Amino acid sequence: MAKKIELSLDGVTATAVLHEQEAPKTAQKVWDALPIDETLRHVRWSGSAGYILAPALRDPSFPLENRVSYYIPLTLNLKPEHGEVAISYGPAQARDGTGNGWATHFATLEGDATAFLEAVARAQHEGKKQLVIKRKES
Amino acid sequence: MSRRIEVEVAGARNTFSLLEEWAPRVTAILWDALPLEDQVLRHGKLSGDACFLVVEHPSFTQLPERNELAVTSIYKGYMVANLHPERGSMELLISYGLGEYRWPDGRRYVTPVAEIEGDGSALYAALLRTWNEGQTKITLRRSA
Repeated sequence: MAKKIELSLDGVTATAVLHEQEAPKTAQKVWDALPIDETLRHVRWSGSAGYILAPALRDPSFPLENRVSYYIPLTLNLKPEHGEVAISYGPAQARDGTGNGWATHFATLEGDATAFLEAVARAQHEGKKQLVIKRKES
Repeated sequence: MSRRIEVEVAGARNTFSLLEEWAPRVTAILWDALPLEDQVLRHGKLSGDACFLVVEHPSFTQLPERNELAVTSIYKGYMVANLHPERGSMELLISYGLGEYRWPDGRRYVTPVAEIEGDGSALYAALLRTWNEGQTKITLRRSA
């Protein structure tokens, strides 16, 4: 049975499925690092997404898996060089001041995540928020 | 001598000189529309270290349909404008660091309209705070 994680932000909770087949090393690394409690900010270059920087996930030598540049809404994407996990609620891409980059798509929100994604989007207008990610035990 | 405007964000004030040689029509139309008080200022999500406001004014229908001097970079301390004469509005952006005007599908051109004068550190800090603390208010007025 697929491992799942629970994300809590601004009083709203959502569940995501880890992609153990497509991104096995990253999914395990994230699982082992939980719980994660970090500040979520809105991205400044990448579009419609919020992100956290998790020191436990930072490893510049860690390989990319299930590689993406564009972040599809509902997806969780890791840039291991920064330990950056981006959560997309609309059109978004792994970008910085120099151009476009790559990330590992390692999990996807399931069910109706509308309220959660609205909370992510509000970070642009309301500022930073605290995000907690923990294992969802079945 | 260039016309000067005052920009106030959350108590931080700086004068900017209008770039009249680079953008004579846009700066003249902006000057005539001042003051623009208590406008909503938000941090951008695609253009890097930059905040933006969208302002409407009846005279903005007279804005040029094309950029007067097209740039994509938004240098620290510069104000640039994305022109929308068809809507009677323009989007103004101010950079506090590294900025480039971008949309989801890539770079877009804007017109530079003003450059900061003097020490902008307090204003830059106020702009950066919108990233962590959320939107705030901005006023643009003519400088004496």
